[in-house]
Amino acid sequence: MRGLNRWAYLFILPFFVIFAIFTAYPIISTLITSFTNESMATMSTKFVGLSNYYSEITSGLFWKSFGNTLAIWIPNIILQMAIALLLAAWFTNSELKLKGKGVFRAIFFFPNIITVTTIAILVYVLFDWQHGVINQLLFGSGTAETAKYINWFDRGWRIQLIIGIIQTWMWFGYTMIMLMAGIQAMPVSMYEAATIDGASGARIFFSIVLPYIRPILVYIIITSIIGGLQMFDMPWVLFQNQGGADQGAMTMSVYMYSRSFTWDQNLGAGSAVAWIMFGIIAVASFAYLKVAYGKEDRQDGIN
Amino acid sequence: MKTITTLFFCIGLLYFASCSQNVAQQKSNVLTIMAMSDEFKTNGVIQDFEKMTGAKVDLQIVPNEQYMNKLLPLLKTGKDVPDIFEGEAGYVKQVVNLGMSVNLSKPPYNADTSEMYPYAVQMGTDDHGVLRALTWQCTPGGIFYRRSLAKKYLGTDSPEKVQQYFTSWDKMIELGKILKEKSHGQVKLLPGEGDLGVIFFANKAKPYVNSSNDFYLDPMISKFLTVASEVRKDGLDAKLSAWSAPWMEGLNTKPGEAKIFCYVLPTWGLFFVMNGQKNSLGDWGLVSAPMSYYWGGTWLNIYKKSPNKELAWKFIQMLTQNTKYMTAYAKRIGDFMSNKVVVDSIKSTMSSPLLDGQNHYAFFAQIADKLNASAVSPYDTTIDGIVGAVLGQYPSGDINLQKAIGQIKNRVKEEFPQWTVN
Repeated sequence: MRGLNRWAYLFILPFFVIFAIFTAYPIISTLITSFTNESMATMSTKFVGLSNYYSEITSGLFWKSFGNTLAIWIPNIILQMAIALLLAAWFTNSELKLKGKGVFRAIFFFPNIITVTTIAILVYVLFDWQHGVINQLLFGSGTAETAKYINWFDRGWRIQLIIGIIQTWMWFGYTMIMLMAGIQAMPVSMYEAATIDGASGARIFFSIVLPYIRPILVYIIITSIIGGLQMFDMPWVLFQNQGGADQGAMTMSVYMYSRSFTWDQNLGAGSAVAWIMFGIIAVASFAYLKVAYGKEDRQDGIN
Repeated sequence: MKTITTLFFCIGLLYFASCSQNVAQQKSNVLTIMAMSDEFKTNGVIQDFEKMTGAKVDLQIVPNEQYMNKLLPLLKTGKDVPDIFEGEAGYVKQVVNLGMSVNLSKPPYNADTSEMYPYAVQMGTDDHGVLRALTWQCTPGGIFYRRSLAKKYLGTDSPEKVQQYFTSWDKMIELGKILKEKSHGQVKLLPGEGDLGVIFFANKAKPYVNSSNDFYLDPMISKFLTVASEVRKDGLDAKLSAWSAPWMEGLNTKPGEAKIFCYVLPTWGLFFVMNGQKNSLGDWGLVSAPMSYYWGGTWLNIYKKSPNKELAWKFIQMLTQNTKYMTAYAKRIGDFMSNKVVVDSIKSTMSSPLLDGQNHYAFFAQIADKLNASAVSPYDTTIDGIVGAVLGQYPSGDINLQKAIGQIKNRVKEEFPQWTVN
């Protein structure tokens, strides 16, 4: 028996080695860097204690970037959940007898497999002020119409809304498939029992289906909190280190990257931002878990 | 317990394996150059060098926007640093001040800069007055206008006559209004208001930041915002962002269909950007902007710990010291050289088919004499970017100047917390 065990450890070893090199080491190294004034621009480094943390927490732009991140994420998660739930409910409802479910599922999932950069460039071209398709569709293309064109990227809130909606479009298909999987795992007998008791379709959905798929909802929202608070690629490809109008596209990750590698190239402060972000995400995730699983029914929570 | 020991053993092994590669780079017959573009290859410089010395060149290309992100970590760790690295005008001052490049005015290099345009030498000199980088080119800029439009709306396409409209900013805006009126709003003076920025950035009297980290916002910046907002408010630009697809297309439209009167571009604009735009061939004329300016330029540094310094110097020597080679190269490519004597010896013989035979070389030579780089500082790219971003927040051109200046200063303070911004 002992011999077998040793072999098993050997087989799982690669994971731990890779984890140690590419995850554990960078995390610890970032923590150490965050206590120094290490900078790309200067060749000397010294220990500065907690001053990076202090200057970042008191920085207006850092909190603005936090607000921007939420302003992109919150509309996105609400919209995404609403659309995904509705579609999942339709697609799993056997009474509707929908045809071509598989095709729709694939189409809705499709945006998720395109690289974000590609989509960002597409957005840039579509929403172009003078030559973008969106303005041409909305207003036409004569001289008088051109004067009415909207400069989509000239207000922070518009940038945030556009990015939020594109994120929704990219992720609702994925969320929908997750939810469908959860709903389909429900025993048919539960539906039948509810129908016999005279429950309506809406009643079944809200009182039976939703509580049943709660672990999946929690999973989706937690991963979305983590992914959403780390949003980087689309805002960066669109607006780089200045964050567009009103710095609206400056998310926390863009801020962290810009602080570390552009601007004053301050790796120490950038590392501190990374750790503050880690704290925020951890707190948000735990807080949500607490809300989602109240004390009384913790046992039937995650399983 | 045993497994954990094995685990640490493996990690340790990997660590030492990575260390063992960390031996000093060996002297070799291969010169590594980390460049922002493949121009050395497409312009045949590398081929010439290889033929001349028998060495091989390993050209690594990192785009301009990523260049510092790539170069700084290499310099910091001292691993895989190229023998020659570059600095673009917007950050060359940071590169030369890192203390990572050799002093080129000392032996064995003894670079001769007596014949170079002073601004080109100034840019490659660090804060202590030590020459750290050299360039083969000079990048004075002008304004490229459409001959067909000039003829139609101004009655002449000769550069001397068109120049009258570009002697001051007021005259230039006046010209925009004439074009707008006569074409019923069809023809725009410029592709975008932001295109004018480079002219003002190059004309600052003082750098953005001094050695004690005090930020200074030159009056040229508010002048830029004022002129740009006038252009936008009066509807004189096509509202295109620089380098976007429609912006590029404006360079290539046929003479009869052109809607944009002029483009603000330097020397390299001619052979990098306009070259190959077949539809507009010969429809361009070149005049000077209301203020002389330069835009861009690439400076070459030799890594101070490189084992190949000798070979690296041979490369830089060929491009910046060898007048015979420089003359041949300039004639072949049309690049504007940093060496005055070379420029003077060939300027009368040059002309460009893009410009309908106008002599761009003699034109740029006049401008290069007037350039001054005393206001260049290490973080120009970032701060110019801030100015552009703030200008972009006023798409209608209705700038509240005081507020815009406040926003610029605020962003500078946020991005450079250790600076004093007043």
